[in-house]
Amino acid sequence: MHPTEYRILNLFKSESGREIPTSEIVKAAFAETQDSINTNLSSNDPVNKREGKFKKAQLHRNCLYHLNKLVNDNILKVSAIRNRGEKYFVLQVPPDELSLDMNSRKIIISQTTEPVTQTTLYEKKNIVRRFDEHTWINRLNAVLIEGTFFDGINRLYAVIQGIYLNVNDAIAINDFQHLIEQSSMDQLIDILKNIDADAKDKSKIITLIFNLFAIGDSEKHQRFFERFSSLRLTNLRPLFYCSSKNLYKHHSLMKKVIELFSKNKIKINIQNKLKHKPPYLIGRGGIFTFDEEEWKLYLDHFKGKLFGISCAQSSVIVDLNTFFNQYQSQDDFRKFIINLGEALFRANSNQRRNSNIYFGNLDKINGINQKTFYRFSRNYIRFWNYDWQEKQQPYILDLLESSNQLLKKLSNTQETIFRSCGMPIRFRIAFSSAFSKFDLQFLSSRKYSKRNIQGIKDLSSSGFQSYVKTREKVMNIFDGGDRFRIFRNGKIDPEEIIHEFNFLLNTYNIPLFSYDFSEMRGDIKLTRFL
Amino acid sequence: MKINATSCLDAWKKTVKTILEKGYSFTDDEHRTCIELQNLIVTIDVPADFDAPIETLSRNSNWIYPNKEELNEALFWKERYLSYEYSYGNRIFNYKNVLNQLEEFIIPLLQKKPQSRRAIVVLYDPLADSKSSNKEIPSIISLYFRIIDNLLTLTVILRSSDFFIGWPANIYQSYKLLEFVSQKLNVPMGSIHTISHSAHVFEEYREDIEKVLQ
Repeated sequence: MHPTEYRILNLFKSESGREIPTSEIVKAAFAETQDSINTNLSSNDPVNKREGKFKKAQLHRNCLYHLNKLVNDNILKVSAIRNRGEKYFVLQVPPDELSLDMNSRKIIISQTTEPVTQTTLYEKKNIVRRFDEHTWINRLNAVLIEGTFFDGINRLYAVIQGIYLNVNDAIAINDFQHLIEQSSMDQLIDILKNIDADAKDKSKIITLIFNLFAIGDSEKHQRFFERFSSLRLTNLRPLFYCSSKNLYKHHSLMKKVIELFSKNKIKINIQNKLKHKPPYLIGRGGIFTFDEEEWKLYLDHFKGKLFGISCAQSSVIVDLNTFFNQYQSQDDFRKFIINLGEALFRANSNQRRNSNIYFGNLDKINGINQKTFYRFSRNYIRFWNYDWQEKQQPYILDLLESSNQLLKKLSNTQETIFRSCGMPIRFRIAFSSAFSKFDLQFLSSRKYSKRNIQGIKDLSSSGFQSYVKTREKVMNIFDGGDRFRIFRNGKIDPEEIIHEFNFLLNTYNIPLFSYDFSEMRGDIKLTRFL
Repeated sequence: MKINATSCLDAWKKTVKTILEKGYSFTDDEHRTCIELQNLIVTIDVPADFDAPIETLSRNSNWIYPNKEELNEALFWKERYLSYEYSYGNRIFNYKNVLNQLEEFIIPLLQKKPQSRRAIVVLYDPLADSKSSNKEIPSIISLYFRIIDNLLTLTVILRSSDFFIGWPANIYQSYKLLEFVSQKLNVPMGSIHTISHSAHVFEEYREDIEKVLQ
């Protein structure tokens, strides 16, 4: 690193955030020559005085050369030009990310400071994994995009392309039916193919949320699903947001969907909006959603003002089986959960401080409403192998619930502290289950008996009822969302499957279920039920 | 009510104790039990140990307290943070993206007119903050700089001050601002006064408070 640049950056690092005029930077960068210049300038001898002025101008030019270089490297920026054209500069990167080493040839900007000392021990023991370790801090887990914000799929596509870099798992397009009604079929299909190809390439899962209540042109939707299902897109997940009343209204459309999707082995995701109003986002790591009360606040005050909102920031996945193989007591578990909470807080703190760098592009799209973008976002602790019934921890559900309460207290305390300090933050943690696709090598393997249904009778059997009862309890604790997966085989009669959907919507407290039409044989792993 | 002290640590402990003894209790909007005194004035004559209260709080393992670097950053970083509803630095050094209140107004004003009674920085922005749906609004409303007996003094008006958890950071930040202006003016630092419309502590931290007061 050039010594002048080293001195300049040292000055900015020591006065973090301050706007510094060129004259002051020159004085700090060339402190040793200031005295001789001042002596020359204060001299009565015109030759000395002229020499002083000449040296001063030379230092200014020299300093400006390095300042401009730092500006070009996006390390500094010109914040203002005042007092007869004097430039003022500010640091563009957070001071703690700037590593100043005279011996290094380059200025090192470390964008992801490691805030994970609390999880390191558990990571070494294969109990915990951070979701997408390399982008844990500088990307968001999940973002919801409002379809109704766009007048056609072209503009939405441009926005999605722009935010791939900001998201490491899930993107959902809410009210996708709006875009179907606004766009031409050929355009829709072409763009969805592109979105799927991009999503596959960048490891993203895109949920298309269809609000059945808001579907007007049923025939156009039918044509859409005919073409959509034949494409066999791998990274797009259709989700139907409805009640049984909405299902009844679009009975023939849904019959067609079942016929097409079962034939093409596409999962049908049904969200019971009477059990949970905020939309679900499906990711590689698991399910995401918003808090009910906060979603209401969003609908009342903010919907329509932003292209979308962040749903989740950072996640960790916990293998409970591995944890309880190494630790025995419930106190150990609570301590462990608090450690995870603190690790997530430090990750968030780092993310917040650097948000201008990581998410500056979103600011340009959302404008003055950008601060609302993060207002409803949460962090996730996902659990794997929480098979409380068969393992050594029969009280695991109670333990999860009480641990969740501890984390809520920690979150409230952190919010209070930072708000009091003039740094109003949001920090929330939600629990959810993990999908096996998260990391097949990390997650411990378990086997379960084959369980699937062939018709409505299976849904009301005592075995199924007892299984659902336990899952309902889990879904209550997993406030970050969970999915109930049902494997449907046997004869596919769309009319009968509509009955099954209605039965599930009206009988059980299951906010999100997924019908999987893939054929199954022999024993299957727990993964298939999650 | 007025509390005088010669150190920040002393002022903090004295005030928290007074609030607990003389404050009245109520339940706030977030259903927390709060003990409050109104319009409480705290004066610290020589605020040398300005970081002692935050260091005390940082030692508590029940929470993660922001470190000095974070507090400085929030205070001196003039850009708007995308993820904070507001930040003090942005309001002080780049109010509404137009005015650097300290460097363009306070410092030149006091350089020119050391006796001025106009050296006030306002952090509250009615256009942004006076909305009933707004959850996050600044606690520090204004900063008043005044040179008395050739010493630069600072009076901080706080709308609401969680005296146990928030005031330590506020007094640290106030000191850093006083130091910044004092260096620019080349005038020695004098006393800091905080006037809190609502000076309160939360019942849920009583155990932690008692440990600090011991």
